[in-house]
Amino acid sequence: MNLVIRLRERLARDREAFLAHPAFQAMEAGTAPSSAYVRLAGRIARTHLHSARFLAFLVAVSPPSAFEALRDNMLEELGEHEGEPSHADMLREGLRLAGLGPHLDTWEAEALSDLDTRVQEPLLHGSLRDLGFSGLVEVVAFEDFLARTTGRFAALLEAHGGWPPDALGWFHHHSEVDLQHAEEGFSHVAAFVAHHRIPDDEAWMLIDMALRGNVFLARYLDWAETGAGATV
Amino acid sequence: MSFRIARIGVHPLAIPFREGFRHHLHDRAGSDAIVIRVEDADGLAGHGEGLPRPYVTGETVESVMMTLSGSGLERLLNLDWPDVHGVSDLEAIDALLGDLPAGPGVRAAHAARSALEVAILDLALRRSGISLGEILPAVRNPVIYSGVLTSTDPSRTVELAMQMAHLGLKDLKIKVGDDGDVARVKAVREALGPDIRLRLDANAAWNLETATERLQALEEVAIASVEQPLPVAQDGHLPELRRRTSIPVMVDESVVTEDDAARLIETKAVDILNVRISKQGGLVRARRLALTALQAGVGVQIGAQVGETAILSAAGRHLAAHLPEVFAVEGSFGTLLLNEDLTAQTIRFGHGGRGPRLTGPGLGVDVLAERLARWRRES
Repeated sequence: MNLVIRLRERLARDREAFLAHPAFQAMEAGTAPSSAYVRLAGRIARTHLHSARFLAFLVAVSPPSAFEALRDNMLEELGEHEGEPSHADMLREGLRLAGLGPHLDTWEAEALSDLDTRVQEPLLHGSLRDLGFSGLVEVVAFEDFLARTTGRFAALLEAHGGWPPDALGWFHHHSEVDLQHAEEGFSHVAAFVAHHRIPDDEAWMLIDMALRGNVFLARYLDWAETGAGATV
Repeated sequence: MSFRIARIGVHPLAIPFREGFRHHLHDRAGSDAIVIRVEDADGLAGHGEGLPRPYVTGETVESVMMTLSGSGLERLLNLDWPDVHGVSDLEAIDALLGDLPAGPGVRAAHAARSALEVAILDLALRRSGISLGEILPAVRNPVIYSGVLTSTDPSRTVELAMQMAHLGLKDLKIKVGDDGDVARVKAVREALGPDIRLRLDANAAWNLETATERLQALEEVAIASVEQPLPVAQDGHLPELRRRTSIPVMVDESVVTEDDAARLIETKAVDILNVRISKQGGLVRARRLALTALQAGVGVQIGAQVGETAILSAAGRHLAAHLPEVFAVEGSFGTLLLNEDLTAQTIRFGHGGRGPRLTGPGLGVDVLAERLARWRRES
């Protein structure tokens, strides 16, 4: 099976598992405790406030055919593109409007700490090629996920999390813009594999490792159990 | 010089795994570590950890909490603990701590004891401003960790084995214990070729006849060891099993106390002991047991508790680096398994399973209080 088709199927499966998870369902139904909505906001902040820095690494290792698009994506994230605010600032503003400003310093520190950890921990992969490809897969996975789910995130936060409509700009922006990025991202995955002549079975192995478990659950609903019986 | 413990905090945790973990005796979806924080009068803190395993020591989270909430802890506040300058001070702390009372159904309160002992050692070392590695010097750096395969699906097991080999791991353990064992292990060997060491762990799934049958069927594929092939109650069959197979026999659940180790060595029941700090009741006892085994010509694997945090992994790293010989080393999975670890420093091994020597004060990892709070188990 074509690698990109297989990747799309894998991401769809993980996305559906996320949306069907009892913790997410409870938030959509409004039966989750108020602390769950705050924690979800914190996890989104921790994941995305400094993610543009990671894009810089991907730009550095990108194949020529994906370089410009990844660079533009990074510049857009950083707010250096067409006068728009940075995505991180959009998210910060939304969090403040939602009354979560007092948490922001903590979440900023956690996001930076995660970045530090990624820099300091010993590399699992044996080459920058493998590390870069894994990072690209992860970025594409989240762009695809956000493009298809941020509308539901926005709806549950507005309905049950106390977020006013004007605080939801980051979510609306991602649902409109990232579908294009996600589609581009799949072509970047294919370009990376072709440029470095990675055999399909090896590329899939790297994809499977990058998406180990359910990265969306691990990142956004970190308190939710993934379920026993899956395998390491 | 000595010091007193001013405060003891008990932190039962529930940290979800990124993926579930399965073996014959248990399915596990999250860590149930119990962390102890001890402080001296100046507020300097040390941390220790234990993970109760009902099928090993009889302990549960509840029994450990019971042990650690009893009046026995108050006794510890009135003791004068030696500062640590050498191995004899570690032994003195072990002796001073003594045994913790085992409640109903508990064979040995070792997880609780491990949490306390490691915390006190960490604090004592930090007070002296030295690393555990200065007391237990490393004879190997880095420590090389092995991987573990828990899937029962043959094709998935092969996929995961190939992934681990791609990450440079040269030593893998396959969980066995169902009818597909032989085919699954052979499939892994065929996929990996001869250069990766394979070990088996049956978690007490077999009886003597099944073990004989499975192991004889696998002798041709170069298996380095089989861990806990029989239930603990059938330890008496281990010498016979050793006669029936050339695959070295390791025990885990069977060796909880130092008396267990002496009995197993005396009866020539084993080739290798799996030594785990939490199971053995602390670092000092684990080291002593390991050295006893090595002196008797029995190999030692430094094992880990599934779901352990960086605290116990750091203690295991020091022990594995220090012992004169190790058959294999497990653990230090960190955020490969946990959604989040507890420390400022990462403990996870890198490519090739390499885990570098830890050099910071105490265990060499600093626990973040907010993470202890975040992952506290809701009662």
